Amino acid sequence: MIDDTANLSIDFLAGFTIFIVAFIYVATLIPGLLLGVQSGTIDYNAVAYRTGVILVEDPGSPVSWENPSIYNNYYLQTNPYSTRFGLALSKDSPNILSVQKVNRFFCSTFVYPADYRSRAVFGDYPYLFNISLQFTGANTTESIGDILPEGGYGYIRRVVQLKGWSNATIGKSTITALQQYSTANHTSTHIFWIHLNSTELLDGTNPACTNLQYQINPWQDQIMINLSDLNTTYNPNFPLTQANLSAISIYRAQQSQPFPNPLPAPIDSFPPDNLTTHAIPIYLYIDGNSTPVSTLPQNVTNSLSLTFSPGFFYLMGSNTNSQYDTTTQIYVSLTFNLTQPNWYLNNTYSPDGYFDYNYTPMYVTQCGLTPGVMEISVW
Amino acid sequence: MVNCEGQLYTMEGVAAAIIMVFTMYLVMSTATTYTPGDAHISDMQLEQLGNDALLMMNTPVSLGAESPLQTLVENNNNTAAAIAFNTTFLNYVNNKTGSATDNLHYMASVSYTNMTDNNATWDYPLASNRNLTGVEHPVRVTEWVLVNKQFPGDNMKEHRAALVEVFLWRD
Amino acid sequence: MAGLNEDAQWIILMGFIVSFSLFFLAIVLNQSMVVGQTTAENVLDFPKNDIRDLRAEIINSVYYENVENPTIHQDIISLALARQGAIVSYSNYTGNYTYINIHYNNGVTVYDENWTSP
Repeated sequence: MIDDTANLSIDFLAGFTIFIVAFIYVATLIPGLLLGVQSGTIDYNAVAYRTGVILVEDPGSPVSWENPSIYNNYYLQTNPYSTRFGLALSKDSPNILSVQKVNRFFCSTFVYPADYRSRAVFGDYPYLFNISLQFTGANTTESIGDILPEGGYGYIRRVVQLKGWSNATIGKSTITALQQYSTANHTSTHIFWIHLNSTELLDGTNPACTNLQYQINPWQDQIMINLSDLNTTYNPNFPLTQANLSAISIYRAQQSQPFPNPLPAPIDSFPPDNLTTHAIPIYLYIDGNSTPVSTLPQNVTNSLSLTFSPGFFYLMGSNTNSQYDTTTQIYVSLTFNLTQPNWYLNNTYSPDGYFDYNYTPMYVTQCGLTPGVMEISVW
Repeated sequence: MVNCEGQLYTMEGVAAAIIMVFTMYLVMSTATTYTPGDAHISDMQLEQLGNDALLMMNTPVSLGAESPLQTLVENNNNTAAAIAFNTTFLNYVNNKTGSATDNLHYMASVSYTNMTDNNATWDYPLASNRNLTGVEHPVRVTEWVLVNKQFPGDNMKEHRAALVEVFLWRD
Repeated sequence: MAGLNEDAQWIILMGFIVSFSLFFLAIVLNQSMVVGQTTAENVLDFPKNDIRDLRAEIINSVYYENVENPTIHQDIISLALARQGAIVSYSNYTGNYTYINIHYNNGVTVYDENWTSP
């Protein structure tokens, strides 16, 4: 006979089965709750990809974070609403990086790794990372982070371009074409004017005004002026003797056409100021010397190269102009003294009265793009 | 038949079993999260790299000029253009920081619509540094170009839009 | 213990073995739910570069290079459908400024934009 003691009834089994199935389903959800407690070994590649996008395609926040005179380190490190360290020039130009942003990102005044973690890498888990950047033609790699481990790290590689600076190389052909030399025999003092028309450069009709990768921004960019063929005799009857660069002055005015007369007082003059110890330095190389000069007057024989560091004009004077001021005009004057009166570089009486540093490729070498590669590793 | 004796023992047994099994399940699940091998990671890295390289090739060096890619597609009838594409593209995708270089291979082609064939899509090869044999695992990246040329099979030269497609793979 | 009936313990044991196997199946089911779309798949699926590139092409042809003609319009629409699997339509209007209306749909992602010239 079948012993059916201790059997379970069918209805109990049915109910119990349904209960067990429901319980199993709820139980499967529980490990997902506990997963957050685990260490972050999940997806380094995702973090590397996200960091790559932020660095390469995002201009960063706040706008102009690369300018230490607007946002100093203390502000960037403590402001809760800042910051993403995006290196792109603008949101419309992904993969094109800005020199100032690259320099500020890789310079080591930020706290490593906390500042970079909260503004580039993100995430709750304290990831280790290495961000490297190298441009074509550079023999050094800029790098932030730890040494790479043997394996097991997330990785992404991005191809970028760096927006370069413009420069004006003014030789004899340019001067002759623009008629910017003086034929007055009786003067030994000659002034050469250079004009940066911010209206034309930032708000004009040239399409480079709105395409940031080609734009010349006098407030933010490095401005370089190279004068050569200075010992060329413009006067066929008189040989040239040595010239002496006695002063460089910088003016601001509100109009550009016609040449403002009289000009307001110069914002800054060298002398009396010192060129290299200025807050934002000016580098003046005379006759191809590798050391910049720091005081004027200086004798000039053949060439000079004048470089205004990025942001130089922005900080002149006590104006609070924005970095996209389109109404204030900049004039730079170079005063040359000759030992005896002669013809020389001088555009005071030329049709415009100045050399226009603008988007004409014949006279001003426009901003170029340098390719580079960025590698991001996270582990 | 069935009687109601021993129910408490049964329930105690059941409860103990549930506790033990559940604990074991919990421990197993959280300790061993099962992430399947992600074959898509290397695909994603390659695709991003290829897109970046093509974007950089399609950026004009100065405003108003043609981009290098536009020039290459317009002049593709000579081998110099294929060599130029080869050099430029491989430089972009194989360069790494430091002195090491990567070893990627590609095959590029241009797709366009043929107006004389009822707007069908035709294509022709542009450049490659290895032929695609079928065992590779490539990703496909594309880039639009605006060119002023007469495509093969078409009847006149005018401004057209074409799609440059590149298969990119690692050995 | 007196009175403890040890009969039919096998049946109960079999019952628990069945429940163990049910738990094992539950684990397998759980893992299959965890397997979803990984991050890399998401990145591959989202047409970031396609949309960005297409948008730049349309704006270039209509405004910057100003070579827009019905042939280019047809080229872009046919090639996007044939080679990228996306429906693209765009229209433009030029008054004081140029306005371009772009629509993109690849079945998973839809993108609409009204662009105004600077």
